[in-house]
Amino acid sequence: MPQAPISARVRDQALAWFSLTQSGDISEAELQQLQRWRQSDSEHERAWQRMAQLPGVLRNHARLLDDPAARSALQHTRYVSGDRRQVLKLLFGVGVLGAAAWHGKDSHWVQGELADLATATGQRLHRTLADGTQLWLNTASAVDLRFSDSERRIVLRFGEVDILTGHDPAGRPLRVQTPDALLQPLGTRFCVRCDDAGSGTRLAVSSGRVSVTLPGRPEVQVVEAGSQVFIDARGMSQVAPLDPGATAWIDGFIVAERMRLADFVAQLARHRQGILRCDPAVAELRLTGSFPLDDPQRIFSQLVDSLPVSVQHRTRYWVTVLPRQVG
Amino acid sequence: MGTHNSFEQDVEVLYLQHHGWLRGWLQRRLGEAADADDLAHDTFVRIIRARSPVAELKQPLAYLATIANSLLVNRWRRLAVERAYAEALAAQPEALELSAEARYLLIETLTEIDAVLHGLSPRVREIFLLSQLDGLTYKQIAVQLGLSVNQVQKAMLKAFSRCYASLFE
Repeated sequence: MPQAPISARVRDQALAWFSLTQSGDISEAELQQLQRWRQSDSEHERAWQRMAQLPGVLRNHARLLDDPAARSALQHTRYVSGDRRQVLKLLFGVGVLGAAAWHGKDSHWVQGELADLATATGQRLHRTLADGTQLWLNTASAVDLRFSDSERRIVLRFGEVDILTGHDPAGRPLRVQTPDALLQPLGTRFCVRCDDAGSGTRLAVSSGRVSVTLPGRPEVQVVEAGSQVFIDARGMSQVAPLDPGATAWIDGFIVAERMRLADFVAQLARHRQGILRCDPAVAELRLTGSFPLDDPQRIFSQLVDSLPVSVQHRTRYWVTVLPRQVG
Repeated sequence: MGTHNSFEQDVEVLYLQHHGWLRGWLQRRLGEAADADDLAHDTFVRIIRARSPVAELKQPLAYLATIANSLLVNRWRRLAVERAYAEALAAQPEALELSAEARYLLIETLTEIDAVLHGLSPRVREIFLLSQLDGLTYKQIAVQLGLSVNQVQKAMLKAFSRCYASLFE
């Protein structure tokens, strides 16, 4: 049964009272005051009832904490949730190898990293750069790496790249350039897509923040974690919530959540050589599931299993998704 | 029982649709295929235990990722507790050697308590333990640690606030 909520103000009062009762030095007058406070409002009393459960956090385990090593462990466990970099290291596995390799000694290695990165249609690529920054290149994508003394610039020529920023020992800022905008992440994981000059840029920020500068405009806008925007010649769109399926390609999947079949086929087509078309008669069908990019035949059979469609192979390179013929 | 689409069937559908993605997602974060398998498994175990409906999830991936992420954080917290416990044992050569099972349960419980106390510094934790386990008054704690009573009060309020947030918010 849901209980009536307790306001932050009453909670704080109750906590202050409770802490006082635990001090070993509460006076008779204070006890009477507490009594009056509890009786003056039912919300106060409800808050007070909750307080009774707080000591149980430790006392329910008192016997276990008799063990000096257990007690010491509890006291000295450093939970470093505030340390963003630690969290990122854990969650995204920042390439330790890449960071260790950066000493400026091995210029061949560094020079190699300065070369352009590109993927063909159907290819995907993961690369850890010398500064620890990780790039995931989606199908048919190309980036230039222009690292200088003053900045680390990644130029997205076309396609899609997901970036987990590394901490540069030299403190140079990381910037990502597309035809539509200059993006500067602030301790971040984010994904940038720009299929062609003129097609606009989609920016999706998974963690941290990214500042966006548009060509010829003085102001800087900031996109926060968990949101995505679209940027084109007209400027930056409204901020929309991050679509968690949008970066599933990094793991080798297309993820659909009630996705229009036409949109699904368009996504899949990015990963395939040749022509892949969706018949307008089935374009509005909705599709849900995870589809492995490396196994197109399986995707087609998943489609046929879950929707009233058939997949027609005119040639190996020309595939159409059609309504299924009855009978 | 007997309904057309049971909770178990809904979970099965969720599993079939997204287990592959979840495994990949975890593996990218952990780097270890075996750990990713375990955590993907644990994620679905937790969903089954929680028994909150999954048939009409608007964002099943976000749901799975949220649960998996809390398991990841828990795993990481557990590693931190294990490390702290091993260090404490090393500092006390005469300490009792626990059986593997007893040690597992101890670490498990310590991890749970640690989750409640997370974000509190070793100093605040020490004050909290002295008060709540040893029954010292705030004055006695202040004398023992060379602090003012006011500092002890502040630390205790912080610790109780943390417990409250963990239990109720």
